[in-house]
Amino acid sequence: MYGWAGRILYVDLTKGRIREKETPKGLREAFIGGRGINAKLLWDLTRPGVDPLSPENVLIFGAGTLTGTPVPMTGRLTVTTKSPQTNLYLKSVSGGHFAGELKFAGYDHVVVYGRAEKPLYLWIEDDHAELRSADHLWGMDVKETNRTIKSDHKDREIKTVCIGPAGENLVKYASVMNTVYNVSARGGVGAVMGSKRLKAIAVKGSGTVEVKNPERLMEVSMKIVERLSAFSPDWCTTDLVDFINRARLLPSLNFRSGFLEDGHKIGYRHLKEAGYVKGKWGCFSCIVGCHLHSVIKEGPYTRHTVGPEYETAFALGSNTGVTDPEALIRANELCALYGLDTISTGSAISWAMECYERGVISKSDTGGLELKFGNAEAMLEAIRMIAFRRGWLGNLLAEGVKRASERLGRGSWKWAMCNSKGMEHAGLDLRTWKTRVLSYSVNPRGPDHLFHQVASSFDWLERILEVEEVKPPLTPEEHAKVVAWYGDRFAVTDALGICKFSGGAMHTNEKVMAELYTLATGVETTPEDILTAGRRIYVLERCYNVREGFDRRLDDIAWRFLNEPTDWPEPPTPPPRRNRPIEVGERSVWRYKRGLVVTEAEMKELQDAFYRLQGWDLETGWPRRETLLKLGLADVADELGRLGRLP
Amino acid sequence: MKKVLVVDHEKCNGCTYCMLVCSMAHEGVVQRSRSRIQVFRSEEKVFFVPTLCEHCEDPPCVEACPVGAISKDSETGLVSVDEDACTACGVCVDVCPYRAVRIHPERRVAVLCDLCGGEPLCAKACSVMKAIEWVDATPEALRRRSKLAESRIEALKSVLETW
Repeated sequence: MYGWAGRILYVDLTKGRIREKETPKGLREAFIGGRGINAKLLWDLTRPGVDPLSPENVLIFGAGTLTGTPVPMTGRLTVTTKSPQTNLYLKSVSGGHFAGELKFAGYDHVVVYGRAEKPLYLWIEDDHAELRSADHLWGMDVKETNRTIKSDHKDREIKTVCIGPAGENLVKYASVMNTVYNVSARGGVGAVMGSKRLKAIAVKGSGTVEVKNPERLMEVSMKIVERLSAFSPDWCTTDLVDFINRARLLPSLNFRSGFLEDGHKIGYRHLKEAGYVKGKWGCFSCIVGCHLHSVIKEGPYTRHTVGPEYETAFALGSNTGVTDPEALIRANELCALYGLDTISTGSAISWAMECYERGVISKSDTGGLELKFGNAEAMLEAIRMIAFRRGWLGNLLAEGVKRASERLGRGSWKWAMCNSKGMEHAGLDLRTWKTRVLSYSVNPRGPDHLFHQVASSFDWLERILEVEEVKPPLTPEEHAKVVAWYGDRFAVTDALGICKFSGGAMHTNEKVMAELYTLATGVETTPEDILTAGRRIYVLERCYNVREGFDRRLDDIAWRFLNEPTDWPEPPTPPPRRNRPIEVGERSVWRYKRGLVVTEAEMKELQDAFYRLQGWDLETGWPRRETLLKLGLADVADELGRLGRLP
Repeated sequence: MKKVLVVDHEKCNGCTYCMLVCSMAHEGVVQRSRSRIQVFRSEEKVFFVPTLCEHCEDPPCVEACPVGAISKDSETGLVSVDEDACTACGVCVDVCPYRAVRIHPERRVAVLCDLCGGEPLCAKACSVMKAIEWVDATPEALRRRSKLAESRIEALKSVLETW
């Protein structure tokens, strides 16, 4: 087999049994790999209504089809399961080096189900796979876990996925750490792993990934390398903080504002000037390496670490009002060690800060913490409380803001920054950017940023909308087209294992993706096939939610965006320019005015346009039978039909 | 002008892509054990050290080889292995301060960097971080190169000594 390693490992933790099967041809050709095959496996292997933290839920790890080939920037790992946070479909993708190692060991996917009686870890060394006791690892933080596994096996090159204390304690947004500093963070993949009492999967691979046409694939890869060389070695998401703040999109003080006076202090330029940045960190086969290698210079936490990323800088920085870079780096490190999603952790803490400042909770509830916006020490202590579910507050926040606000009551849902699905919002102020309103609301896993990382740049919009000049404001149909354009491509990007930062060099270029896929696997594929496969994956993920009882009412965004206007100072200077994208007023992708909200009607209008484009029913939001048949999802249509969930 | 390979481990981001293309170019498959360049990584310490044959002035491997299979070309300065003579005893692997010699997993002979015959692919692949550069052999570049090589030996120790 070319491209794919060709094997799936099925691990039954209840019975302690491991089986291996060939990666079926039908799955490969319809769903490509990684996120695509993961989604179909989840559809096939779980029953509707399954409790996400029960033994019946499955946890699936999938490497990309191109991972382990000479194509650069292809180390993405997709972790798929039913989310304990949203009770819906969940995929969480990370970089790191695990996926490459897994392919070299000879596996495309690992499917874990059941529940072990005592903590275990899975050890894979090429053809050999076994479950081993993790009694000695249980309770360890992520770094200690990795060190111990590596020294036990006397091998530094072992890669792992593992959970920290947060996953063990079933924090609803615990993450799965990809070795040490990369992370499949969102939606509670780590809680699912913890509920199965699986501490880690450690893998060592010495093999190779065969490709159909090595010479030509190498040529194309080196061309991609040339295009990627345009990236600056300074390039990182943290560099977006200052820019996004100036554009009045940086969520601050629990999303009350899109601007924070000292916001630039947690941006890359300032971090670098202040000496916190030592270098860069690259995922498997990624010559760009966007992660920061940073240093905590003083105090008990002195060490080399990685991060923070933009999303972390917003969530644990501006959103909690903390602009001390060192506190932010420490917070990021704590989340990595404990295995917590930084976005949801930050949102939970800023929600609690707002509760505290409004007098809804008091010092006796917080265990003595002065939980005010801007209090860095309190923020750091709250992270520890969450990871270990310590005290009333730690236990409450560990449930995520949706459940926490339901339990606390007193109107606190109004500033709980999640949507009806229950996942906390990613880091952009939606009141000013309509395309994002659409993309976050229809996202099957909740309002996060990586289902359709829609562009702000006019170069892109002109290409997507196939017009010579974009004339803002965009119509709902145009917004819908942009979101769908990214949705289809990103599904394939994740299936192939390509990183979403490869830009036009790969991930948004279906011609390149089709060529790479054909050269690697030998399966003749056109750009149109690639886009159809992308749509198939995308729609299957929605169908999973439909089977779980989803309907259109869950496609929304947080109440605050719809009801409370932004309040920030008008910018004194013209808004930022970056790669010639955004200008004020008429040619603005986002609306650059204060006092804005998105209205329900606006959101509904955007969604109507999107549903129509996708062939989904306007009332229920469910895909129609014809839509599913066109994508070759007849079995899915039949099952939904039997359940009475076709429009 | 003659060119040299300058490796700065401080710039390395640990992605190991150089290993993949090295193996692909020399062996036609991606298998890290076949790569002439190796990246030693410690994710826990956030520390990465790429190493490959430095084609030393006074190569310890040439001296140590019990069968005289390794030699240094006096004209090009390249250190190379006579594969017919090599017995894969591994002495060269042990004496190399850069850990840059590997025993080929199939052919069972010592292999080391041949600079891709004059256009090293690893340098081309490292086009963003530029931890590996193929540059003119100016006196300044040579000085920088030998200084970096020396610090790399220390760096290797700190990656490999503790967990």
